[in-house]
Amino acid sequence: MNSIILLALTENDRRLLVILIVLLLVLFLLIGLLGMVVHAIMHHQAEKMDTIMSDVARTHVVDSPRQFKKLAFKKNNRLLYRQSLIPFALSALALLIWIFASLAMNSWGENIFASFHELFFHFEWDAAAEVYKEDPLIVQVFGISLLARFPAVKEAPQFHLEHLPAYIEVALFYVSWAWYALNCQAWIARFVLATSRAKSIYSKSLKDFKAEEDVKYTPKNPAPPSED
Amino acid sequence: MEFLKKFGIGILYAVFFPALLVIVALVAVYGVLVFLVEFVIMLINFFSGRKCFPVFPEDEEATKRKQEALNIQAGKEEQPAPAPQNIYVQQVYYNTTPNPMNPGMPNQALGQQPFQNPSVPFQGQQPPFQSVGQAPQQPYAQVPPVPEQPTTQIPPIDLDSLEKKEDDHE
Repeated sequence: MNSIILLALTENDRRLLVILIVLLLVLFLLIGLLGMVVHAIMHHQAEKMDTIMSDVARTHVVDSPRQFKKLAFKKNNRLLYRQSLIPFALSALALLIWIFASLAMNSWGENIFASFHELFFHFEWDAAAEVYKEDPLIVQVFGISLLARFPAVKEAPQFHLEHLPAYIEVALFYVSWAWYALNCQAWIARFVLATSRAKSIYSKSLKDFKAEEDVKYTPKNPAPPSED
Repeated sequence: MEFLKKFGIGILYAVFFPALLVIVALVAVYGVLVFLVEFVIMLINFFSGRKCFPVFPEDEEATKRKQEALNIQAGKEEQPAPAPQNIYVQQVYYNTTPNPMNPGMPNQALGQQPFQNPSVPFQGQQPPFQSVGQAPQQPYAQVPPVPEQPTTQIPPIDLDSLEKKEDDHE
């Protein structure tokens, strides 16, 4: 049955099938690599928890998992605050610029984000648009909709001087929000590592212990012969 | 193999990325509250004349314990070595020529070289070298002092606190 289906395919269909498989493989590889990058970044961010808790753990100031987690939580919060000072300051600056620009130009109702997006290309994603009559945008390959061509440009970038405050405000907002999101991700990474360390540092193992061979602590009375 | 393992973890991260975004959003909201609370604490400390963020008591205790350990270590290293004890070996040379002052007693030359040419032994005197290759006798010898062995004390284990720690493990 499968061989009959394959023989029924035209040369063009086979080529499209091969391209589809390659695209899926590349997509799978890219997604995996992105995930690896996120994992590596979180691992690097979590190492800070070892630095801040090392002294108190090594000097036995904290001597139980509960104490360790409690102190690690407080230190993590304070570190989040310190790291978030700059992003919050940038957001506050952007807000101040917006207030003063709106006061000066009386543009309180203006959508600053739409004004900022004028600086970038806009593409026509509607497949039913006039421009795609002769050369369609979407093509069906084995039931899957794929892009057949690069989408047409709907609007080219434009620069308007009266929107300059909006450009600065939105750029500052985006940078501060991305920075703050990274700090929150770092908080999560440190929290997870602190929970893991609290268990591993204070755990004890009897894995290689042999009571018969241990000579450091001799029991006062020998165990009875049928000890279970 | 390591790369495949990391790639697998990467795929997992990619699959759970939307959940991670939701958690980041929740932490972001919590972070705003933390920021406001810490900001207020900082302002109160600042206007009270204290440090904006005082050091945690646990960190102070850890620093104190580290310093004590460093002082103990430095104290042991800086202990001066005791002065070398010099043992002076008295060389006595006996002359076979009769002592004009006291003919019955041998002539002693204390601490002095009895002859100018050390390669030729003095008549009636044993040469300072017993065998070839033997080091000449020094007028004094240095005995290296025996360093004192540091004694370490193991702190006694407090059973009450040990039980309390085990309760915390639960």
